[in-house]
Amino acid sequence: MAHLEIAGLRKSHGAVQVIAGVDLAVASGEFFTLLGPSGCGKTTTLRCIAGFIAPNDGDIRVDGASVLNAPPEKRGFGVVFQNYALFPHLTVAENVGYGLKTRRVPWEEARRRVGEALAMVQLFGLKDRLPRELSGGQQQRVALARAIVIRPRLLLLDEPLANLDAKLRHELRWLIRDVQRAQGTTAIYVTHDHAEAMALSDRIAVMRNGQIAQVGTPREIYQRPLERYVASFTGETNTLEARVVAEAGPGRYRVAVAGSELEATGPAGLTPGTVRHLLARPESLSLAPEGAAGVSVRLDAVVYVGAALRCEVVTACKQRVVLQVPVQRAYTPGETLSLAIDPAQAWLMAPGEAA
Amino acid sequence: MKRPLRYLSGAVLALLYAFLLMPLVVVALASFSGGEVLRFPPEGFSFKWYARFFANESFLSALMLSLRLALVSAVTVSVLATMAALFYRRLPYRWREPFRILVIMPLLLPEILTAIGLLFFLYRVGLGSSAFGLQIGHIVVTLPFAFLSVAAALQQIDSSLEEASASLGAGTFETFRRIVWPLIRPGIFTGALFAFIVSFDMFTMSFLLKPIGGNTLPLAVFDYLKYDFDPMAAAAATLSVGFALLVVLLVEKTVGLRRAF
Ligand SMILES: Nc1ncnc2c1ncn2[C@@H]1O[C@H](COP(=O)(O)OP(=O)(O)OP(=O)(O)O)[C@@H](O)[C@H]1O
Ligand SMILES: [Mg+2]
Repeated sequence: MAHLEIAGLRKSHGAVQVIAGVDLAVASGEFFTLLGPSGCGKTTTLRCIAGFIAPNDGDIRVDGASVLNAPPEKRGFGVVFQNYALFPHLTVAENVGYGLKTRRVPWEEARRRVGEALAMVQLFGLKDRLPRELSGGQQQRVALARAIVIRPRLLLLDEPLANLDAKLRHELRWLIRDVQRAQGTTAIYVTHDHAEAMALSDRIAVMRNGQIAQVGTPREIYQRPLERYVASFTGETNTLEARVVAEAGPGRYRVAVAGSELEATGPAGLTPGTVRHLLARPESLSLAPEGAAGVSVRLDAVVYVGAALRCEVVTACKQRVVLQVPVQRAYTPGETLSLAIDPAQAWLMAPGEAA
Repeated sequence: MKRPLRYLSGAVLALLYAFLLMPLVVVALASFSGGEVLRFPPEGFSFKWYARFFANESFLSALMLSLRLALVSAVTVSVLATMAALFYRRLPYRWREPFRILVIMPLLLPEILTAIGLLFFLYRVGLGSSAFGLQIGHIVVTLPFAFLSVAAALQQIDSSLEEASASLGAGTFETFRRIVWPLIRPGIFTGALFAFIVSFDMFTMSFLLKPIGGNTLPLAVFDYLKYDFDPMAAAAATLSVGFALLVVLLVEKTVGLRRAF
């Protein structure tokens, strides 16, 4: 419906820079997620977009026009809050119809649209209840219906699932995605749950200390993180120190890891001798009997986790690596094994702090 | 709680209430006396002291003045307290507590101090011994009660409610009308109720600021008891309690006290 650009956004609370220069471009109809640890400025960014707070610097443009001078009520964005923020004295139908009332939508049409919105969030037969008579999941459905019924230019969601239990979180996750798709609304979603971000988003911006560390599709963020911070924030990671030995093709390198040489993927232009961090996701690793190609490791611990065995191995350089292997073969701790890494999934990142 | 303990605490509570309410009951019973002296137990039963009360010019005009003062105080203070509480909530954090203390100052200071201060001030501005001056005194003393009540109600409103309302297209005024006002209304009514009762029973302030020739009901009872000791004083006191109860019931009927707190 609308595309969003954020340029040079800054916001301080007193001496603390909460947003320290954020640039983003979100395409029309995109599901865009701000992902980051607690306190990194996700909510603050979203509140600047919504107009609840004014940034100190920078610009926010929707469909090419700056919205900074418009108060929230003139922006026409739908907002879903973590604590639902339903009006406690209004019924479900009145809550959902609130934005239509302020827009002076004729009564008949408003009633129809409220019905449609409630159907869209799969809430039936509850329209005369008060919010306090609903479960958390139902309340959040109402909040979602209330935000979409006004056909917002942007849908802003701040950790809408954080107060719900795991099962409901899954259920509502797909509901949010379906509703967003059905309406074609541009959505900005804030979360610190990487699984949620991966599952929902077209693109993710990983934030750190008020800045964007990386923007990309879930696949890029997960498989090709620019730095260790991004990798560690998007799922379980192993990082091994690696030295580039030679270039083996465009973006492919031979690297030395813990005394063995293996192949890995990386950004173009790394010169031999460069030290990088090798990212190896647990699922890109496999174990083979001693002597096979790969890094020689000692098995430290093995735990049965149902679908797989979770192994902890230690390299000759005392680096610890966690991986999951099929349950078929039995392993004994203390065994010496050979650790193989899928070259296509082994990725060379810039060194840096983990999250 | 264990059962015997519950009974025990119930009994203690009953005793406590009995102790607090006994004087009231005694006065109320004494007011229905048929005799000529104020005493307990009353001699016989009659409504004659009530009849005499309502035939007594000075008591009647005192009742009217008290009712007018209490009503005007309740209404004025509701408006002022609501505005003050809204302002208070918008203040930057470090200014909030000083502002709150300032508003509830009349509650923290002894009433007599406030009254003396006002007395000097009112004479200086030419409102000494006027009904209007007394009204101001009542408003000053009753404002903290209403303010605390409205501020407590406002505190219950999460600011995300107002943000949600704004994001849905409601301006500041519409948000107040549709969201804030319905949610703080019980708090405002409770505040008004407090203000009414406090004003209706106010003695010290009225004593110092009373207008020439005007008397409030508590003052009239006090004056009367100085010279006469008959059950008419008891009747006046009972009526004043009755009025307070009536107002409480009225609020209970219209908004419901339990919702108001
Ligand atoms: N009103 C404020 N005054 C001072 N500091 C604030 C204020 N609001 C936020 N902050 C600070 O700004 C930083 C970013 O806050 P923000 O709420 O944007 O984080 P977040 O990424 O949404 O975190 P979370 O995942 O915990 O919600 C935090 O360190 C917070 O302490
Ligand atoms: Mg947040």
